[in-house]
Amino acid sequence: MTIGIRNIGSYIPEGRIANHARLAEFEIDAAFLEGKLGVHNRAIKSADETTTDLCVKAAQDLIARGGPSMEDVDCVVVVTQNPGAQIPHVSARVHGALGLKTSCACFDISLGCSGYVYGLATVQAFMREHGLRNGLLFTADPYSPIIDSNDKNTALLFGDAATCTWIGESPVFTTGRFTFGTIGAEHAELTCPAGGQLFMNGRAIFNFAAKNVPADIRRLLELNETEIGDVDRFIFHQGSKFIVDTLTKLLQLDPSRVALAIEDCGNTVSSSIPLILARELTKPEIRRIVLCGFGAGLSWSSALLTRITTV
Amino acid sequence: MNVTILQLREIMDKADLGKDSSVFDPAIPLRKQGLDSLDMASFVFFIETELDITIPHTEYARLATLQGIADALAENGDQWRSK
Repeated sequence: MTIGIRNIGSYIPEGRIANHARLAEFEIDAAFLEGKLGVHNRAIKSADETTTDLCVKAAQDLIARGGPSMEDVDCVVVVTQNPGAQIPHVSARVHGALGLKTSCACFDISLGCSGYVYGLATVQAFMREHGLRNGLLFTADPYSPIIDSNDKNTALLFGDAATCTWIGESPVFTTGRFTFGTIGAEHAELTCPAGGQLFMNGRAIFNFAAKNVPADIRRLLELNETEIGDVDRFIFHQGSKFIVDTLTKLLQLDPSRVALAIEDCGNTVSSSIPLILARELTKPEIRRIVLCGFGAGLSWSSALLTRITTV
Repeated sequence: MNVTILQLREIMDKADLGKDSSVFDPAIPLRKQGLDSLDMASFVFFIETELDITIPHTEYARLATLQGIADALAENGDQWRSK
């Protein structure tokens, strides 16, 4: 059974916070904000919107785009580290909200910015092993409740969003071999204690990504016997414009082949990759895509997608 | 580990920070000469890559000037070699 990515729904809250209004407060100029951080506005969910609500709205968008009939959904997986309540898992709450059948499997994956790529690998393997036909992979990791608005390292970066990827037969994209990595010894560089606020050592996270992502992508391409020149689009986790630009330089890529979509929503954690991928589904000229997510853990994962058809 | 100011300028050029490395006064903090925090992160990353070393985060405060970087490398660079 060939399964892969069939379609992607998304939800970006309408609320925005303009970073330009905070330049003086953080002693930065517009050139730094626009040229380095790349985040002009951050998408912010309303205070009463839960992680489950974000997922349901992304699922509704998928349905509007021709997603699966809800009675045909065999598994639901939610990637989040901000579930709201600890018990039960968000996927069960989403299952209830969408009225899915009782034979539908539900579980969450606790990962940050590498979570979408890990999720693709996990859900597809799970579905193949157990003969499931339709899976929904959600990403929803709203950081706005855990950001210290006075912390220069995080206050201008993160935004809220959710995505819902339909995995099933007759896919638009199939995946090849994946790569995974973890440097657990450096986990303290990006943390959030229970009930606390996010801490990020920006320099350490930059160093981690610059050191490990290019090498991992070369390894991914070797595993999949693909030349870097045969890849039409590179979708890196949108940590900041600066890290995307740095990875572009280190891999000696033409910037036109590298996706950047951070300006009007910010770094949406595990949603940053599927938000971009959703746009690429309808572009038949984009035949091979490299995904790479990296962040908390410190963790990373990469995947090569190959187009089978067009939405 | 002896690394000259000239070698550091060459590494800065490789980092492609959008600035001519020859204009930087070795004794004045790089942040006061036009590099921002992300430029500094990139420069330090390229120093580590080019010299095959890992500089502990606790030492970053010493890396404010080109001369400070050269001094820190002379003092500790051999201990910072990647294993």
